[in-house]
Amino acid sequence: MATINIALPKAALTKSKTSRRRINTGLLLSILWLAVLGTLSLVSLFWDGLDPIKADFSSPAAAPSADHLFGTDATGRDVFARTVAGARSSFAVAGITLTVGLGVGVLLGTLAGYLGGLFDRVIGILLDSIIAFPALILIMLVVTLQGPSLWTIGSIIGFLTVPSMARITRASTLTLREREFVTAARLLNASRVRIMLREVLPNVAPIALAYGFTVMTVSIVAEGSLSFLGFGLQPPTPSWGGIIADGRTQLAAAPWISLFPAITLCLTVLALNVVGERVKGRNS
Amino acid sequence: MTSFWLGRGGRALAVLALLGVFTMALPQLIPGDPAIAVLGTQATPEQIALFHSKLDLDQNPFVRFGNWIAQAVQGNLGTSLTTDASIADEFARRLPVTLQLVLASQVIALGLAIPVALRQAWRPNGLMDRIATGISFVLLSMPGFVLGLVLIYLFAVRLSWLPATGWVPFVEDPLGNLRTLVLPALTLGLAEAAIYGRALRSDLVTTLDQPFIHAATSRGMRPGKILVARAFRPSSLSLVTLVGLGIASSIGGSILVETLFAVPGMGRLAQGAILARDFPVIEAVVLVAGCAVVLMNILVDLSYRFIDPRITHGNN
Amino acid sequence: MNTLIDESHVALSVLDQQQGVSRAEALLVSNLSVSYDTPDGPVYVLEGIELSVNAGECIGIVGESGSGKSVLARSILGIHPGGNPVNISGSIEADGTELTSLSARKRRDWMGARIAMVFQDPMTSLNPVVRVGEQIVESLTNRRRLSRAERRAEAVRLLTAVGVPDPDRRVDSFPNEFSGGMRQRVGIAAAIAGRPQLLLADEPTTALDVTVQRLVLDLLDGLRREHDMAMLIVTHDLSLLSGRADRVAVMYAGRIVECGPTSALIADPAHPYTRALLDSAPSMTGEVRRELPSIPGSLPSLSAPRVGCPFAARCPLATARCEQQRPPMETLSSGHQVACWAVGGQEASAVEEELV
Repeated sequence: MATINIALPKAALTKSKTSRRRINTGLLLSILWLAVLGTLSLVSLFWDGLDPIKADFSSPAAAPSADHLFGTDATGRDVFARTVAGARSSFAVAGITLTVGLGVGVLLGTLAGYLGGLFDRVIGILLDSIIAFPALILIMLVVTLQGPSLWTIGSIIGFLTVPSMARITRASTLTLREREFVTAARLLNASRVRIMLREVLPNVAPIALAYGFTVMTVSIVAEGSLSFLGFGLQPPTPSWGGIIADGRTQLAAAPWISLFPAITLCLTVLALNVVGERVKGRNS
Repeated sequence: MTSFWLGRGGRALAVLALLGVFTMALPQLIPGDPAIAVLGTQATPEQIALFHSKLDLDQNPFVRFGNWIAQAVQGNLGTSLTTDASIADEFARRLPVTLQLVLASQVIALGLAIPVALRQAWRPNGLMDRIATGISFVLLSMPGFVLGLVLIYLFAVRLSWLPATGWVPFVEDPLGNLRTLVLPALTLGLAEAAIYGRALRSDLVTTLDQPFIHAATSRGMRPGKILVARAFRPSSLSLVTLVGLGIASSIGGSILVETLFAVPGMGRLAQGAILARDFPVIEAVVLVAGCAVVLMNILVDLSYRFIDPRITHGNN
Repeated sequence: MNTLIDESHVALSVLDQQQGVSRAEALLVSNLSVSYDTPDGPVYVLEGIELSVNAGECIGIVGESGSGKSVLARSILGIHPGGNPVNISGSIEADGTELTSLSARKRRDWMGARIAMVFQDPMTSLNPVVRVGEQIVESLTNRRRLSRAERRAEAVRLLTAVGVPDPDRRVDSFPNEFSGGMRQRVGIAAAIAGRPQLLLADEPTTALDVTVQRLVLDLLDGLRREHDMAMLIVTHDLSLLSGRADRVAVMYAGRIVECGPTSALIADPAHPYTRALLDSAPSMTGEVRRELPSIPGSLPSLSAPRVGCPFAARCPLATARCEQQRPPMETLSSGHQVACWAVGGQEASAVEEELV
């Protein structure tokens, strides 16, 4: 067949030289940001000081103040509390996405790479047809038909990340397959399943996990877009995309309603990207 | 060579067939009767039967896909459930809008990414490189709808230079068309520029340490000329792949931008169809978008051969 | 050729006459040290290199990988792959001009035009996406405008000169359409295009099939004589140099440990490392040996400047002094020098005693 095989763009696989030299402040800030946001969203589960639904009708669309750090929205709900609750939704969806995308993707990729042959080809065509499907249309369709629950949203986004994860793990499995220790295991008459589980999978898993950060950013952005379009988690459950969409009509009068959740969303994706980049650099 | 293209074409057809059958199976994959989902629980058995026959729902997905293809090659993509309008006519109105948007965004993306990446690779880790890397990292971390909102806030709300939303067709008013095109095209283009720029910069830096570049340097070639005339082409494979991917995915993936800026293209058509559960329209959009992806992949493969003479799709 | 360069030639020869020098060395390297700052710390690749190449002379640089021989050749043109920061001290003079302090722009006047380089691997040193004809004439087109027809004619002429068959057609081919040996001929054509006075050949045949190695070396030799070029051949194979190089310098761990006329050095190697190098090479006289002796041990770490003689750890003659003090270059006979306490030191002092 083809003499060349395109998998991922090369750029995604090349490590950046500078990142290894020193522990940079960017990385520390990123980890700190994710830790703070994670803690806050956990705390908000138990502490009603961060109630995203309680409305302060006396001060609708109030500018940021000591009382309301991020201001209030059109109905007087605290934007900070809503943003923190939105983080909870985003992380929950990202967790489901990660489980589905990594689980199915790594399994298919390792199998396709290790077994090769017809299985590899069939899986390849299957994955190609998933990629050919316009992603957002599929997500919107499934969510419309199944109802917009955390599970549905998380798993359909996860399903759509399967092709990339499978391709990455397939590629690393292919190189692993030719390595001495796998050959040694084969010569020792180890069973295929045993080689897969004991030799190949433990070596492929760290590479796949490094891409897990990318999967999470994809999930957070996709969930945000979906909510922004009104197809995501339904009110009153707060979601970053939903809050931002709510504030859209008041961009001129009360820009903070959209601004703060948007900044939070971007910083979170940025932080995940920074950490992911670092982990990828480590692995290669 | 020939066998490569036969294999490549065969795979493309298999992918399209799979996509088609899956798309056709969608109405049947939802739990419950799609007729009820669309018409409501009050629908009479006659209405439901009519709905089924209209959508060919009593057939299996393979037959439905076959029928669809048979009609499609005659230029008939079916009729919308909600408007009863011909889908082909609808596409004829909307596809040019989306294509114009995609074209403009690609021009912006490449126009930004290529010169910036060349400048970055010229002095890697220099000040300009770091600034550009930082900006592209921020852009990459910005979902399209946030970037779009930022642009609306800046250029429409604050500066009032451009309309926040709306669309003026080119044939009606070319200048007005341009004004409505800028913000959505920028939203799509800036995000793509960040992706393209990062890939190109990284490939350029790798290429610039290749022996053949040092050889050109040893012959007294200026760094600028080396960059443009010697390093760019062998570094552009990832870029071409990404551009292909970018164009293909925005045919069916411009929903967000089209909704945000009220652009009457394919994306909004798809969104409306999904909301109304207008299956014939959804099926047509998905299949057209799928064809675009498959076609772009083949074009990308073809362009590899053009870029790098070493790449021959012969037998192993 | 280029008027600017011709003028500087005139200026130089005037200077030479004033100083009473008949002809400046094509290359004079003095006390050259080069180190790289890598992410894993500094690497000291060259330490105090002294080397001269006279006009029209052929010098061989021999050493195993890691000896710094290629770095030496590349440093002359200021080419340092890897992108790590470089520290250079000492001097590299060509035709009386100090190269290390030249601006990048000024240096380009030398590159390709007066000093050119043939690279190790013709597979990777030719641009895969540029037709060979365009690459061959780079050192000309970088200096003046040539029409398409002129470029082509020049490329065909050069391909003919290096013995590429069917040059009229091959000039439009891409590098991947050539065999390894032919590709290196293309590389050589590109190097001689600017009519350099000094040709640096960095392991020009290492990547080639054994059967074509000699052909390529003969080609280089012929071109050198024809154009009266000075040449510096870097190789790990001393046997390739006999009969071709006028003088040979042996490098070990970033230093030159011995240099001298090729025949003298091969017939009567002084430095223990040179002897070991000759012993471990297959016999040149066709004498069959069962086993080739290898040199025990390996190169010292380059992450710190070497104290004493770098070969001490592997040397059968090493003494405590070798570990602590750097042996100076001492003259054994006309042009034959060695840096060794055990060999050079004794013999040199013996000579001194005789003189007294």
